[in-house]
Amino acid sequence: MVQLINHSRANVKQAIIKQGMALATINLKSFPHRAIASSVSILSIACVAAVILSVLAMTQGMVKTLERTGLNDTLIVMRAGAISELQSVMFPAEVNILANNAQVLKDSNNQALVSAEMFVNAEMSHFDKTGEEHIEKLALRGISKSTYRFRPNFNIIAGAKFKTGLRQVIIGQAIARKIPALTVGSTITVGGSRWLISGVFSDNNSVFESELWADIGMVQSDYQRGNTLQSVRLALKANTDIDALNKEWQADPRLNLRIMYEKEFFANQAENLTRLIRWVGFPVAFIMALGAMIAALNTMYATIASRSKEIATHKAIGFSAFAICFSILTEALLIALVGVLLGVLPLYLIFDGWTASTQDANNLSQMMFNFELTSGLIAQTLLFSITIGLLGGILPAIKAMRLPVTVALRDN
Amino acid sequence: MNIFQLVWRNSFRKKTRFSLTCISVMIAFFLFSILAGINHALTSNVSSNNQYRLLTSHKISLARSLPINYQQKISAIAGVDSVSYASWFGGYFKDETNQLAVLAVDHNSYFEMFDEYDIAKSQLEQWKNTRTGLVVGQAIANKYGWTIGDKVPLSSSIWMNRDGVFTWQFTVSAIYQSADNTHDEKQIFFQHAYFDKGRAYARNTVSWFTPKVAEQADIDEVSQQIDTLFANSNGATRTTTEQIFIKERVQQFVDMAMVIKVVVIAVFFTLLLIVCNTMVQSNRERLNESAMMKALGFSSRFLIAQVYLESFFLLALGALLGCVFAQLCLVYVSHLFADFLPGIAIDNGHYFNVILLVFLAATLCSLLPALTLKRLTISTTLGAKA
Repeated sequence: MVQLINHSRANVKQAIIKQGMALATINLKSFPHRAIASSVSILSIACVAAVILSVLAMTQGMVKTLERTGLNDTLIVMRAGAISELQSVMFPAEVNILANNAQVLKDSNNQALVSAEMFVNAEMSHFDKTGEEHIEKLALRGISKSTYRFRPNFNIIAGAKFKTGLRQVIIGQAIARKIPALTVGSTITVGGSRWLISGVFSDNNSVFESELWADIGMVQSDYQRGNTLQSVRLALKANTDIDALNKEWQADPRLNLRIMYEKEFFANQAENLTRLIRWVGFPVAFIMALGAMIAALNTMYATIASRSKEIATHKAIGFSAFAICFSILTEALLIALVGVLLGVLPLYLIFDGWTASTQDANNLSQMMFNFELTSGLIAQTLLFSITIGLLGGILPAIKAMRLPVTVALRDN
Repeated sequence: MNIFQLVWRNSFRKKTRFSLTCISVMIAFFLFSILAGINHALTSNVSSNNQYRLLTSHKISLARSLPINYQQKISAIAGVDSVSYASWFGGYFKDETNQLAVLAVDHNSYFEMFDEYDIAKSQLEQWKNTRTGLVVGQAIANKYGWTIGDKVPLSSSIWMNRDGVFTWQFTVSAIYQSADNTHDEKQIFFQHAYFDKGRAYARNTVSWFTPKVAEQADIDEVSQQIDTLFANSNGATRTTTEQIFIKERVQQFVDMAMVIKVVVIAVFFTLLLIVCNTMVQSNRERLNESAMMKALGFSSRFLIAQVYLESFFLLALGALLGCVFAQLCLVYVSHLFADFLPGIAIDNGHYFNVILLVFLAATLCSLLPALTLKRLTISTTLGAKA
């Protein structure tokens, strides 16, 4: 007798798992019959998965784009109080003071490595194939030769750089992708005058790819800005103490500036840009998840109700309560998996790599970003949806475990 | 026992199922209401008193200025009642973390035209007579603890004054409240005359004009006339109604509004399935009963009415709970979003939509059970039991 008990103990684990697997298989085989009834639950999980994945992908797309922008060792200088380049005004005299600082690197001709840039927003109109006019609000950056030294990832991928002194622009490849009508050799109307697109550039999928670049002198005259500019980029010697430099410049009565590392500046913008999508998207997804969980709960309860006799029979012929619980949870899991697939797949097929745009309120212009459905994000979505499905399955599974055999078999 | 009692008893027969379905309905309508509130903030922002106001800005960009003498030229156009103007100052208090929305406005005409700002008459007079005076929104005054008479330095990252510094000295002269809660109380205004005299460059220009059109005038025609007047000059203009201008400025959220629509449709489609499923289930369970009732002489129509009322009751209860919850939450949501998305509110039109949706969904959900009931033959249903 004792031997028998020991023997059964050793085998009990195995037996339960075996039973559970057997029941789960039976359930799965009969699942197609319940597929229609479960479609409610499947669909709601699909909706949740699609929404959560979109929110994640958009947020990540924007953050990644900004993370790829800016250099670690470059200092960006703007007017004190400016939170974006658009809101800053600087004068050439100030640029000279900055450039003459001992900590600024010099090139082979003993010229300071400085890029004074103009940043304005431009309404650009273009016509699509049907002849309809579209107005896009884009960022226009007026640059000089030295600017290219501050963009190590800059590459012309079509056409050529603009010629100084002419109304020519080069456009970022994100713009070129978003508005296919813009090709090298075509002209666009930016503001009042027409500009020739001389080339398309890439820059490591950074924010700069959402900009138009032109000769700073041409932009200044077109915008009647005299010789003012918006921001200055400086290359610093490796040993520079930025805090000391900041103190030195803050104390200078001729300057009234805000300085920070370029990388940091763009990383800070991510916070603002993604706020709306995060604040609206995540709560909505959460509430929808709640709804999906209730739908799953409802479906599983209904399943159990309609199969109470079957479950009671299983119990009567010796399946353990755990095995029954396991089989129900498997079904809940299956529903969640089908749901995720249904939600994620269309999104993946249609939108992966899609160039989306968002309005950058601080710059009054559009920022393009890629809608990337990375495996990490899909895994997060999967985990989230499966959790919903399982949570929806637990209570019904417990109910099934407790189902009294006699009542269930007698019940009509 | 009348039909309503029957519906009541039948509804609560399976309490778990009823409450779960009801909660799903509640969540759907909760989401619908909250999103409608957000959508309201994204798309409308329109009050009735500004439908005659236009906005004339530089054609190229809002960041470019227009000559101040356009005021007289625009005023001369037939159909234009009056013209005011404003310039963007930007501005911050102390450092860049305290960004403010500061406008320099024509002190003689601006608040006469924009009557949605509630300012005490005496304070308005005081402001008009104080060259460096500020009109400050209640929310800003509360935030920084400013009271009337306080000297306040505000800085700009764009505008240098004649002393070569970017910090301007102001005096708080008036505090405004929003008359109908549709406008935020976070704006700050000061006299354009002070701005123009004080700044080191771009004197005699303004950021935009706000012409007010006479009620009987044709708004489109007046807009066109204004734009043609300046078409071939350096300061070409673009004139739109104030509504369109605001809508364009929140265009950044247009994608968002579309996403919201898709979400709402998806949520309601799922909801429909959930309720449909519940109704079909409960109807199937009761087929014997229904056959019995038919045998007792109840008409199909009575049974169908019963099913309809049941699904209506379920949906209406859920919708009611959802709307009530949404209304309660919206107070917090609008508070939370006040900084970057003001004007979140549910208008009455939304409730009309809710009622319409409840009726529609109830009809759709009772369609299948109704068909079953109509086709139900007493003999087969009851006979099959043997």
